[in-house]
Amino acid sequence: MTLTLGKASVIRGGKAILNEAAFACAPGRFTALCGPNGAGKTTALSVLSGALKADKGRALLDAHNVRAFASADLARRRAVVSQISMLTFPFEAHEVVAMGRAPHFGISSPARDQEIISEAIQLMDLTPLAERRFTTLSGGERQRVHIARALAQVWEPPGDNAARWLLLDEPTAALDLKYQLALMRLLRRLAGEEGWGIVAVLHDLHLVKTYTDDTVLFRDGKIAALGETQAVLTKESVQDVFDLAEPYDIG
Amino acid sequence: MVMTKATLDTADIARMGLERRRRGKTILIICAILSALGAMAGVIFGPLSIGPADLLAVLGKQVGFGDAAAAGQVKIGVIENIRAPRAVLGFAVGAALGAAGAAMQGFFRNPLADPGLIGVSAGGALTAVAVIVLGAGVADNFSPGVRAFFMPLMAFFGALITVFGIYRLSLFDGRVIIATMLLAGVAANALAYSGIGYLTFLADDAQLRDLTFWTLGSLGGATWARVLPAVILMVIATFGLLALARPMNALLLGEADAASLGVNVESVKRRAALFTALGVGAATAACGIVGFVGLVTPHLIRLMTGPDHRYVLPGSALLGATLVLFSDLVARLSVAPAELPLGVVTAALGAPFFFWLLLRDKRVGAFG
Repeated sequence: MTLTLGKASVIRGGKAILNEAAFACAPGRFTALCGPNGAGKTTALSVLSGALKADKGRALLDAHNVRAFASADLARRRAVVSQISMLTFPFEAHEVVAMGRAPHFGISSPARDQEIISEAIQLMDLTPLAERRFTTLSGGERQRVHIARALAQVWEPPGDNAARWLLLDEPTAALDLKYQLALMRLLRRLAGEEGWGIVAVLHDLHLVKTYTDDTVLFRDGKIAALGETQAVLTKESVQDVFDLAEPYDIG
Repeated sequence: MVMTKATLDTADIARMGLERRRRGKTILIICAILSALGAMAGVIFGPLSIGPADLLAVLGKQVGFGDAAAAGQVKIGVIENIRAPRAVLGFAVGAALGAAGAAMQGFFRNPLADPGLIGVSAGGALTAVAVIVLGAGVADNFSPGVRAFFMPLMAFFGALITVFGIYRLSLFDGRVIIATMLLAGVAANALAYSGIGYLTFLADDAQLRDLTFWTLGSLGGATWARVLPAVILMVIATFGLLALARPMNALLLGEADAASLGVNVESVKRRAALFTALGVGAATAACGIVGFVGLVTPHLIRLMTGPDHRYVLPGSALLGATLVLFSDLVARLSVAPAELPLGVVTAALGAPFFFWLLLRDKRVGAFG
């Protein structure tokens, strides 16, 4: 029951932007992917989600190649919150959240879908914005709508009761402090109490240290360090990976 | 996720969804009635005056009752052989162009995509004109049944090549660059029209008469034998596009997000491009280039129903049919007994609409 990256390499323009990266994420744990810009974090997340085919190696979900799953089946097991939203059409916020139920079409009942959509909207504190047009929302509000959509997508365990996975690429980037903390607490709870596997690219090392279980440190497409967050994020490892002039104390 | 008391419950979500669906369905019913009125008006109005009673008499004859003789042989002939095929063709062309416009705007995730603007219609017209001028000998080798489908299918290939070409050109790093798309469309249109111009230069007098209506579009000269093959292809294309409504909604999120929702993005894009090209190609083969229907109708529907393709696709098809049928009425009646080309009327309506869109979106800064 793991989500594993098996010696995956991605080559772009003759350069390995991901170079034989191998690590495993466990359900029930919150895993952070950290490192400098261009170190391969987003690429690793794309390979894990099945969006990107690695040139060498592959991602495995419960020992099966992620890209061998039927796409709707995979969509009921893992949801993805990407960094950039491309939606420019004026859907209302509740309609965007409802799109998360698309892979359950014909399986889940409309009534159950509505329950899940309303709970996901409340969880993201979007109630006053539910009927607003997506295109009129601020960056942070849009981000919360997309997170609610992803939550609605994997709200219930898949048919075989396997673990659910939530993959997020810099989910806190557009959020203000209040919602950054609230989101991190929510992800912590989904992993710890509900048994979801959470994998997130994060830049704020304070948040990483406070809320995550495991950390994978990237540098130049390779994995520089991995393990439990408290052990991985040391003054020395952070100074080394981020190429800082002096040791950096996260606190 | 915060401590504030959330006051939203399942009933609220049910209500929001219901409001949108109810509105969507109302709009669809109104559009269906309008398009039916358009078809009826097309049959009733013309140089020979035909009353609703005559129309009923002919319809009655088709299902085997009523007194068709009451309408008179000439009127029956006009209805059955001239105006009915023209109305059926107008309906199919409008529906195919409307649905194709909605599909293109979803495919490009861009509300300015239109089969005419980005050269898809012209690409289809070029191959169709090539058939008229160069392919007469080739087509003669086929049986009449095959020959009837030859030109629409050739137009389909021309349109298909243009769709994929423009898409490839305007795609950069997973996103469609709007300016590149429109400029690529300008270039594709210029190239196709230069080809059409060259073929016109080569054409003999008989072929020239066939060609004159191509560049401006017209429903004139519709007979059942000419209309039916193209209509069959347009019906297949329109229903093919309607079936893509759900995945096309997800596609508006962006291709990566749609894929993570379990949508087979490549397959949806392939089908959208194929059916768009089939509908636009068949429409162009049957009546030349009719511009702006695919641009205007999805916008009007979206203003009323929101961007959900389950309403935008069928609504655009029905409103497209309405627009073409009433435009054709204007084309036939305004300068009777002569006829304006249909494309002139739709462009006169559509081009100001395009200006309005540009001004509106310039104000809100929608074009990045």
